[in-house]
This record gives sequence, C-alpha cells and structure tokens, in this order.
Amino acid sequence: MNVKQNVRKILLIDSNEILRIYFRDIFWIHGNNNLYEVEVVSSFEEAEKKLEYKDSKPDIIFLDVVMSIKGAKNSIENEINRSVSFIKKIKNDKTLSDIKIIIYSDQKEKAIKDKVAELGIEGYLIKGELMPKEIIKFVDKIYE
Amino acid sequence: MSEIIKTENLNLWYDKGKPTEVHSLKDVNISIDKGDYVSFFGPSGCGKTSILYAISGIDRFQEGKVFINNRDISGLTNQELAIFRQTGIGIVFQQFNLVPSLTVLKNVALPMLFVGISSEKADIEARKLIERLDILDYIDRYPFELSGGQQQRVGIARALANDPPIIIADEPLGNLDSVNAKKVLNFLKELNEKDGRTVIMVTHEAWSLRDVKTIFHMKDSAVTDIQKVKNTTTADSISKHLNEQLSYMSSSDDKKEEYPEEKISARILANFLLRGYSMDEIRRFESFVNQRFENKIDKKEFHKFANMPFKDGGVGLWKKKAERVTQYLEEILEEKKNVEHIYGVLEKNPEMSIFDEILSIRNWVLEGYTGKITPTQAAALDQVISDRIRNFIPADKVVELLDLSKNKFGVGLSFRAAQTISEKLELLFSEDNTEINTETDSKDFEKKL
Repeated sequence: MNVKQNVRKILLIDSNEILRIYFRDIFWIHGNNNLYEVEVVSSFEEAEKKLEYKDSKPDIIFLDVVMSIKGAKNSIENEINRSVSFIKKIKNDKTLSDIKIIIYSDQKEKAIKDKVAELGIEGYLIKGELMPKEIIKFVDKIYE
Repeated sequence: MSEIIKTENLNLWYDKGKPTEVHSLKDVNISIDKGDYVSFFGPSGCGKTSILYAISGIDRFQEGKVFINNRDISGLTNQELAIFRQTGIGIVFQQFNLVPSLTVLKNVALPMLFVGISSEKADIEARKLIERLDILDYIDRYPFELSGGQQQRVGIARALANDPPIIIADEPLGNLDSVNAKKVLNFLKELNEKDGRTVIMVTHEAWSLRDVKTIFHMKDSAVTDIQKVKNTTTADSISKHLNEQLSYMSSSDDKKEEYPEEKISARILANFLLRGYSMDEIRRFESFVNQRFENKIDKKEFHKFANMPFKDGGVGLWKKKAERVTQYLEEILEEKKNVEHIYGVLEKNPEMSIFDEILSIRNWVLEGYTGKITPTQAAALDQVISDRIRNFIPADKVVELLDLSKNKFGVGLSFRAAQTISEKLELLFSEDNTEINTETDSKDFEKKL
C-alpha cells in the first residue's frame, strides 16, 4: 500500500507550458497544500515514466486530446489517435486501469467527445469554461 | 490557523551595487495567517510598498525567502511569477489602472482571459462580480465615463477576477473622497470577513486602519513592531505610533534633513511620470531625477539614463517617453522645484500612464490593418507592446508572439500582419531619425512634449 494514502495524486499532460504552470498554481493557491500532489509533464513519454513507479503513479490524469509533438506528423486526427492509444494503454494495463482519466481540452466537437467517451474516461472538461476553484471541486468530487 | 504568507530575512535593494542603491527592505521576518486583515503602516518611503511588491512577485528581492502557501516564490521564473500574480493575488491600485479602451465588463474579464478562460465564460463571471460591487448600471461604460469611486469599484471587481485568496490594496483610498473611501473600506472588510480572503493594505492614513486585525509598523525599511488589534479601537491603539510619526515628520531635528523638499518632489514626479511601471523602474528613475535636481548630471545625461536599457543601469524608457519626461523635468527645473509647483505643471499637462501610452501605440500599429481584432487579441497585443517598450523581449520575439495562436497565449495574427506590425513597432526604437509619420500620432506626441 502507498504510505501517503491520503495524498491526492494528480498528473497533467499538456504540451502548453503556460497551461502547465497555471494548472499547478490552481492546486497550490486554492487547494489545501498537504492534500494534493500535482505533477505536470509535457509529453506521453514523460507521463509513462511516472506510471512505471508506484510512488509517482497518479490517481487522476488530466490530458488534452489534441497536442502537437515536435518532429511527429501533427494533424488533428494523428493527435487524437495518439491520445486515444495512450488512454487505451492505461485502461488495458491491470496495474494502471484504476487511474481516472479526465480530458482537459479546448476541443468542443461532438465527434471528438464521442470518440473518447467510449474509452471509459471520468470526465471531459473544456479548459476555457472552468474557473480555478471549479477544477478543484471536480477533483474533490471524484474522491468523495 | 495556518499561515498563507511568510518571509524569512527578506532583503530588497533597488539598484544594488550602483551609486543609486537603495536598501528598501531590511531583514523582514513576518508571517501572515490565512484570513487575516493586515496593514503595513508607516511614513512615505519606509518600505511598505516594497514589501507588497516582493510578496506579489512584482519586484525581485535579492536575499531571503517569501513563502506563499508554504512554497518559496524566490526561485520562480518570470513566467511563473506572472501566472502566480494572475491566480493568487488580486491587486487594488491607488490609480485604479483600468484599461481605457475597454468597457467595465471587459476590464473585469481581462485577467481571466490571461489565464485561458474563454471570453464567454469570463463575461459571465465578470458580470457576477460587477453585480456584487453594485455597478451593473455601468457595465458597458468606459472608465472615463465613471467617477473615481466607481472606477475603484471596477478595480476591486477586477482584482477578484480569478478568485484569488489574497487581496492586496496599495493605498486604495488615495484618490477617493471620504464617502467613497468608506465604501471601499467596507468592501475590503467584507472580502475578509465574508469571503475569508486574506487582505493586505498599505496605507499612511491612520483612520483607514479601522477594520485591520494586524498592523505591521514600518520605519526605515524595517518592520519595527507587530501589533494585534483586539478589543480596543484601532484608532486608540495606533495613536502612540501616529504621534511618533507626526513628531518625526514635523520635527526640525536632523532626521528631517534626510527628506528635503527636493527629494519629496523627485519621488512625486517619479511616481507620477512612471505610473504603471514597476517599483524598480520608478526608484531608479527617482534617483536620476534627484541627480538632475542636484545638478550632478545635465539634461543630456539625464535623457541618456532615462533611455538606456534597464540592465545597463538606465531606466529603459522607450525613446519618445524618455524625450518627454526629460522635457518635463527641464520645465520644472526652470521654475521651482517645490511640490506645489510640480502639481501645477502636471495638472496643466498630464503625462500619460503606461496604459494610455500602450493604447496609443496599439492604435498606431493597427492603422491600416483591415482584419478584426477581438478584445482578447487587443489585450495580448498590449502585453507584447508593453514587454517590447520595456525591453523585456527582443524584436524577433515580437513577430513570434504576434503570430502565435491565441490558444498558446499569442495574439493570433497572420504571419504577414505580425511582421508588418512588428516592423512598425521597431520604428519607435530605431536609433536613426526615422520620424513617425502618422499624422494623428505625431500630433499626439507633440502635444505631450
């Protein structure tokens, strides 16, 4: 069992640096510091490293569905597919499948929402539609 | 109760290591509990504004630590500090600092746009705040259509935009009549008692301390006494300090000699001419004004220092601004240097704050641009202009930021438009005598000169 059982471990994957700082700040500024442990990474590769160890395995992952990667073929379709296969990988891995996945994106298209909805995600949040405290409330509800 | 702010051996110098060095905070060790209502109180120049600026990450301190919710902010990058200021702290300014080209609604919504909240959502949240401040009737008005009291309420609504747990009020009553000042005090009290926010006020007026729970008395850049206000009235409990302060200000002993009228004049001028600039920039400017007053430097040298990049020891004002303020100073020098006279000159010939200045530059660079600019884009463009005229970013970064998509906090212009605007902007900085040949603009600048 994890020793720090009560700490709420959250991982954000987003290629936008400003958003990563902002997301971390939300929990630092508004949250109870001892309650949340927020990690932010910019790529799926970095995220996968965090998943390898029990200590850094998160309870919740926030990720965008559309993130361009340097040196890769970046089209909306490719980007969505990359995110989908990342989610599937987690959901198909017994040691990881209990991680809650939340899409945190600016993509509002129904087709995209439908595509990820069937993967068993915990929520689909639109970045621009949530005030800082609303994000914390959403997380707190998951733990209730 | 847990502490929301703590400082450890905080030391801040302006212009450290230079002849103009000012040691503005000396070994400050304080802690502020969550939900407290505190004030830094003391005479002009005692360091109270510096401490606000250090806590809110506006000014970099050279020694010591500042913890916000147990996290040390001294190691944060400029970008991290900028985002921290948007999310963690709401600042209410003495001069309101509203954006003149935006309506009340858009002024309040602006800080939300900076952290990526959509304009629809920001408008909804801004409307709630405007309603709370009881200024819904003015929601579509522009700042110049409002009284000082109304503008300050817009300023408070804007400070609350991202729902920050800490509210900082820097001499919030300075420009208000007594009725409006009382309204602002009542509101600060409500933010503290009803919302549970931590409120920090800087003031030099004893009567405005009436609701404060903790008073940090400051003198000569240090916190000299910490006072918990309990059952006795605030006015009673601070009378001792106030009397000390009054006798200090009015005494004719040698202490007063440290603040001759010329120095006070320099400070007033610096604060007024550089409204909207950082304390670092203002302090350095003030030291050059002092040197000019004392005739240690001539007009040409003053202009050179005003224009020279900040990192090289100057104030970093852009060309035209440096020219204007130099001219102002000469006008004042030709006559008298007393405070009354300065107010007279400034009243006749008001200098633009940096916000108005950015607006006039923005309008100028956008002349001939046929596309549509949304308020968000305008705000992002203003940020780029401000960063450029203050030399925070190099010329080539301007094109990149103008072209960068809105989702990535850029302005989102086409590459061609970005390049045109950037080239135009650079004309302001060119060393040759390229004159700005837009009619309205040159007129505007002449008027100011």
